[in-house]
This record gives sequence, structure tokens and C-alpha cells, in this order.
Amino acid sequence: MEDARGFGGPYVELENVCFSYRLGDFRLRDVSLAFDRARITAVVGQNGSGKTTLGKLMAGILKPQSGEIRLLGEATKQMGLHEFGSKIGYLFQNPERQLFAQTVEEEVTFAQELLGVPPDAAREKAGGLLRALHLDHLKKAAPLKLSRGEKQRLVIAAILVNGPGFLLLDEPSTALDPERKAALYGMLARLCEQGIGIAVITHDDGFVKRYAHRVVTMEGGRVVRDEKD
Amino acid sequence: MTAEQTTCPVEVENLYFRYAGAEKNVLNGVSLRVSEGEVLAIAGLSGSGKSTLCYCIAGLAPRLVKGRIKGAVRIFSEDVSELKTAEVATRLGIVFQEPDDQLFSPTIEDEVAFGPENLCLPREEIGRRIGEALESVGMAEYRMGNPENLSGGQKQLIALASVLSMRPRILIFDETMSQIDRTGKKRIKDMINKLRAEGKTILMVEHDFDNMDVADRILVMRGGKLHPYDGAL
Amino acid sequence: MKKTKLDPRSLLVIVLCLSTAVLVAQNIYFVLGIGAASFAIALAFGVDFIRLVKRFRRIVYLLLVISLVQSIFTPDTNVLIRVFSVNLVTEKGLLMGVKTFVRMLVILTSASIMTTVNYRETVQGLVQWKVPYLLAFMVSVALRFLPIFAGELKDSLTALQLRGIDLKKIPFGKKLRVYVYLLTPVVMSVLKRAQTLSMAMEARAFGAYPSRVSYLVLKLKARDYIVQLTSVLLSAAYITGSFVLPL
Repeated sequence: MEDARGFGGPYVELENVCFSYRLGDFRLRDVSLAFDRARITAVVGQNGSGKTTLGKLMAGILKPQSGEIRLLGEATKQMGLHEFGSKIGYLFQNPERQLFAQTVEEEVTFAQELLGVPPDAAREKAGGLLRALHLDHLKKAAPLKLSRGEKQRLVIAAILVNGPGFLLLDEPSTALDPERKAALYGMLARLCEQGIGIAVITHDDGFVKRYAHRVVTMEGGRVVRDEKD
Repeated sequence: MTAEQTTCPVEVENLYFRYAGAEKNVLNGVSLRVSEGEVLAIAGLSGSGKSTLCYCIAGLAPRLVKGRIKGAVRIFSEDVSELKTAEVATRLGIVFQEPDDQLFSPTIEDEVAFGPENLCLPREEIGRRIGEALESVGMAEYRMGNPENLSGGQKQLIALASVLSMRPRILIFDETMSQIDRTGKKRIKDMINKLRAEGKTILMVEHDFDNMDVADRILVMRGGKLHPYDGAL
Repeated sequence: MKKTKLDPRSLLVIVLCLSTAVLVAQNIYFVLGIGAASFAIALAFGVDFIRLVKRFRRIVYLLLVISLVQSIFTPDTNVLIRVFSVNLVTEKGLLMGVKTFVRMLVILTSASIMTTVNYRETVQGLVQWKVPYLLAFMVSVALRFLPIFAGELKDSLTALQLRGIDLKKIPFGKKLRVYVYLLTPVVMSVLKRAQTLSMAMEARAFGAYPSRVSYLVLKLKARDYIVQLTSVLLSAAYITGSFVLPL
């Protein structure tokens, strides 16, 4: 799961980014941040502070009005969404929005197959990821019959198959019970150890205290605090 | 003294439930008695059957939620399966987890009026109940507003008001606080305390222990049965 | 919203008159006249055309294409454009194309006029006109959830592309498969919401009795009667005129 490009700088970099949905409705004002590999960053703030907007900008779902966003040193202004996907993965708050296939295995292989990867190779790669995320026994199950925690792991597997070096999660622990929350966080920590950079938009103070290497606090569209371990 | 005044609000006896097409029972002999004016929290992991229990108590299963049911569910000593829709609705109200799935009217007034309208109450009575319910949840000033512009916590308060306008004596909160922020959670908890003071019987289903501090008693759903709370799920 | 509010049924009458008149009138000048009238009426009701055109750009292009297709290959003696000895556009064809375009625009404009009313009131108006409540209610629920599903479709599209799939480069044979993938989360969401919604409605005694009371009652006022009567009479006169007058 390592990125072979060998770029030495930050994985994701925002420089003087401003964003507004409508004239005067600024969601992000002059934000400059850099995110590294192999680190877990928690992005916190009240509703409306701009943290969700920040996440969507980083993943390429929104484009900034001014400023620049770089992925592995490359400017992203002209990049299409499909190009973002191989570099940075985004997990919507509700995993069901990102489940497309009839079986768990197909969920991880279909995108690869559409990109021309031979079915056997795709299945092998999928197998490895499903094993790592403890979903192997559910290979033939229907994604929508899984528990919420399992669905999230499945989406993560489906995203990781593209080989992104960075994952962004939008409030992943909403509606998860304490046991499944711990399982998710443990998995994120393991992914981080393997070199993947992680940013989590969250309200969960417990997570922030225990797992985050860095805490970025947003308020009114600006970064008001940036604490590193 | 009427039957309602002397009897237990919610009584479940040896309840079994299996979803249509499922291989295993989700409820395996659940028994429960809730006292009048009590706030009972039912905790448990996702998928443990807590919501299913709520649907059974509210008479929504197996009527709308298809499956096989065995055992007795009684509200105020009457068998839920024998009560008509209007009778259940005026005894028991339920607020679900997802605010957007329970609000479907263009204005808040319409939303809160929906239940009483279905009951064919006179219009003056409906108007009175709308005012009361919105006052009760502290949202009277939003009466003519659009529910879509509210925060998650406010939406749940409107969902609650829409249920309160039917004047039920039992309320079920099915993971009502899981999709809303801290401010919203506090408002719901304040409402639960207020409703308890008014003598309502409340059943709340949760998997987040931070939300259960308003409860008088906590039971845990595990293996399809209810167990007393011993500190773990 | 205008301060002197009209009953939604009056708007329905206006819209029906406009639509009927534009579809029935044959004379091109009459058709154009209705186009102008519906545009003016929509403006008077506060329809924001600039925003509408921006959002429905694609539909307007589609209408143009349809009208263009309508206008070609129509036989007539007066040929306007001739390409490689084929009569491409005739006078009759051009007139037909223009009429089609204006007619479709009038229908769209009429729909936009209806959006200026709160849809609960429109439903109530229909119910008081004896449309079965269930039907009107289902339509209003659909209207409420349409923007939600549009949003979910957009999210689904985004998520699919983030898997590395470039929709512009999908080979034709696989396009259908991709659409199925795209629609799966949205369809599942529809089904799930439908179930929760029906539970919430049942729990609030929906369908408990054969009929129901409505808290909201619409009363037609003098100005409503005037507007409705005027609309019907004007349209009738207009339509008759379009047949009777020469040219």
C-alpha cells in the first residue's frame, strides 16, 4: 500500500485556499495546511466551521475559488475526480452512499475491471485487502446486509484497491457502537503504521485524544489551532 | 378507575421475532415491564434487535415490518396486535433515528398537524394541539418555517412535536440522538426529563452510553434477550 | 411571494388555460403571443428566470434539438434551405419547429409558475377539488424527496468517479453496467426511506379512518373567481380567434 512515486514533500497541501458556495457565503477563508503520510490528523470544529468543506476540497469534490491544492506536489486544478481517486480516498459519512455492487468481492473488484485489470488479478488484490480488513468470510455476501462497521471497512477496502496513499474520513464513527468504533480506529491506526496518511473529520473527543497525532481546529472557515504531538 | 390508570404501560412477555427471509430469530424470548413515568434505556450493539423490539411494541412489526412474531406485547393491558391504528397512535408515539425520514411536510405547522388530521379531530382542536406541542418542545417561533432549514437536533424536536400532538402516554426514542450534535442531544435529553416530569413513560434505545444518563434503568439487549446492565454491552 | 396571494387553484386555472391555448392554437403569431404572455405572467408571480435557465440549461438545449428535428424534412412548396438536392427546411417545417419550441417553453414556464406556491397548499387545492387525498399526498411526498434523491445521485456519481472511473472513457458496451452501479445506492436509499417513512406515517395514524380532516383550508376569494373566470374566457376567445382570423 505504499506510494511508489517517492515524492518527498507533504502528501496533500493547501495554499491560501478560499471557497464559497455562493457569493459572500465563505466556507473556507485563506486556509493553508499540509498533510503528511503515516500520520493521523483529526479535523475538529462546530457544525458550519468548514471542516466538511475542507475535506471535500482535499478530495477534489469541490474546487477552490482561489488558492492552490496540491497532491504529491502536483497542482490539482485541472484534475478530474477519477484522478483524485488513485491518490486520495474519501469516505462519506454514510457508507451506503458508496456501495455499488451485488457482492462484497465485486465491490472491491468492479472498478479495477472497468479500468481494464484482468479479473483474476483484480480478485487476488481484492482478496488481500478483504483479509486485511477482516471481511474475507463475507466475500459473497450482499454489501447492504452488512453491519455499519462492516460496510465502512468494505468501502475502505474498495478505496484502497486503487492504491491511494491518503484517506479522508467524514465523521466515520457516527451511529457506531463503542465496540465497532474501537475496531475502526484500531484499523485506521494499523493503516497509518503501514504508511497511509489519514485525516478524520470528527466530533469524537475520545478518538482525538487517543489516536490523533495532530489536531486541526476549524472555526468560521479558518484554521484557529493546529496542534502536533 | 379505568383500565388505563391501574395497569402497566408496556408489558412484553416472551417475545420472539424473526424477519421475513431470515435464518435466525432477532428476538429470542424478550420479557419486559415498564412502569408508568419511568425512563428505561435499552442498550446494545448495532443489529442486536433493540429497534426491532421497538417496532414490535409500537405494533409496526409484523404489520409493516414483515416477519414472524410469537409472544405477547401489551400496552396498558391491551394486546397491541388487536388495537386499531388510531388506538395505538393515541397511546404510543415513536421518534426514529433519521430526522429526514420522518418529516415530509413543507411547513412545520403542517407536519405537527398531520397526526391530529389523520385522527379526524375538529380543526380548532388541531390548532390547539399544534400550539401546545410546539410550545412543549420550545419551537413555537418556527411554526410557519420550512423543516429543511433546521439543524438535526431541531428536526428531531419537530419530529417529537409531531408525535406529541397525538398526546401519547408512552414515547419511544429509537436512537433519536445518534445523528445529531452535542447541542441537539442536550435538547432531546432536556425534553425527556420534562416528559418524565409530566408522567409519560419513556423507552429509549441507544448504543452510546453518553446518551443514557437521563435513564432511570438500563437494560442490555444481547443474544436476543434483555439483561440487566452490568457495565458492558 | 406576492402579498396579495392568489389561491393555488387560481394559478392552476391560469396554467391550464395557458397550456391548453398554446397547444390548440395553430396560428404562429397566436402561439408566440401566448409564449410572451406566459413569460410575463411568470415574471409577475416572481419566477426567477435567470436562476431557472441556469439550472435547466440542458433541458432547454434538448428542447431546441427536438424542435430542430421537428422542423426538418417537412414537405412544403416553399423551400428555405436545400442541401445536396434534399429539401431540408421548408417554411412549414420552420413554423412547426418554432411552434414546438414555444409550446414546450410555455409548459415549462407554467410549471415554474406552480413552484411559486407552497406545495402543501397546491395539494390542498387539489384535494378540495376532489382529487383523492392519497394521490395528492403521494405527489407531494415525491416532490419533497426529489431534491434529496438528486443530491444522493450526485454523491453516488462523485463516489463512483473517486474509484478511478472516468465516465467519459467507458466503452459503450460497459456503459449500462456503470449506470446500474450508479443507481444502486440511490435505489437502496429510496427503498429504505420509503420503509421508515411509511412507519412514521402509520405511527401517526395515517389511514386510520376512511377520511381525514385538513387543518389547512383554502377559501376562494372574489379576486380568485375573477382571475379564474377571466383566464377561461380570455383563453376561449384567444383560441377561437386563432382559428377564425386569417393569416
